[in-house]
Amino acid sequence: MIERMFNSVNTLKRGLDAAYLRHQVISNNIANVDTVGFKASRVVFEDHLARAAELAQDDKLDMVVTHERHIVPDGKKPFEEVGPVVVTDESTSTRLDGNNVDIEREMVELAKNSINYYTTISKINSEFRKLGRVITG
Amino acid sequence: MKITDSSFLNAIGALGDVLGTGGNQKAQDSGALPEFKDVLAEALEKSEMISSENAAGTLALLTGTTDDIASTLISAQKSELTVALTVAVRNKAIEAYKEIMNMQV
Amino acid sequence: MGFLSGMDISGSALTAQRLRMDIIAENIANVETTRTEDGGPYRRKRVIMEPRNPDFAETLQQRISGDPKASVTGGVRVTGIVEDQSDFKLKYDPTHPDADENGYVQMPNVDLTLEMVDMISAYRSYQANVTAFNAYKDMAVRALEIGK
Repeated sequence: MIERMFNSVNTLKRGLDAAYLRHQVISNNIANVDTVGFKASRVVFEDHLARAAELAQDDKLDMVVTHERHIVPDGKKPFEEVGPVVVTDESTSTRLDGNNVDIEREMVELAKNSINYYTTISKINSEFRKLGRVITG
Repeated sequence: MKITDSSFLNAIGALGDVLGTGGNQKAQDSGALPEFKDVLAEALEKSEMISSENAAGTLALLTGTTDDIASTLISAQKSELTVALTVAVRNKAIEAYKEIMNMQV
Repeated sequence: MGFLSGMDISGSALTAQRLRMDIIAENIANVETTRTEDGGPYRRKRVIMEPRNPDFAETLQQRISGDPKASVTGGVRVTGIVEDQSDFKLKYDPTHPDADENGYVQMPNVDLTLEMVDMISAYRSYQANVTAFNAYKDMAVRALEIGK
């Protein structure tokens, strides 16, 4: 019951962890920009989460799981269970050495992701301040 | 902040549960206000649990077992707020007790 | 997730790119070297780079799915320095002490233009990894402000 007041913080925390994971993947791509045959990876999270939120609001899931061994594809998991996924981009590259890291794209993603991380921390702090005011006010 | 801000309502709701003023879904469904002593007990239990999680997290950070700064600090903040909530609950309990004792019968 | 272990990813790349720059500098310095210890002109050197963890994406996914022992090591390392086996260049200079009977000198197979382009590439890669490293640092500093 008391945990309910931390629902927003917990959701924000999941976003924070996903952003950090994304930075690890981006930095690994950048580290391997000159490695022969290396294929870049990405983190997918926000799209899956938004989709799960949409489905939860409409209160209908396209797939119903009636047995514990039914497999639910990631895009249709309940909101609480959606997690970040690391995917590898296996597409062929324009470079002769088979490396498909696009350094400009990675740098843009790095900047966007950093801003996202800082914003999420701001929101978490905001949330804690709000709760503090409500409790002690 | 907007009145419809859900986390604000969650916090008020949680406080409302704890102070036994009802008005939340669970109390209305069960048809009775939660027993105040149960609520107080839960508050104490939860704050102890969150405190010990926080202590474990801090220890892990200090010994280098983990370097996940964000998780440790978030759990520290949660611990602080839960304790503050428990203190608020306790104070309300004492206030209510005093008020009852002062009633002219 | 660990901040400090993440920094190693960028750190490893800084080390690798610096080594690459050192090798390029050596090539450039030896562009005119016709006599080496093993006899013969200087042979151009190159570095071979490989990922420190070829299954980085998979092991990282395992770690976030809850396996605490899955490796999150990432980054790159230099696994070897090899000599470029292409032919030496021949320069016509009969006055040179190392000229053969036809007046040709075997010169190192170093192409200055190629080395300069390579050096610029190494420098840019180095800079990109510095940016990534600084982002780890900044994120850690921001995380410390939670609850302040």
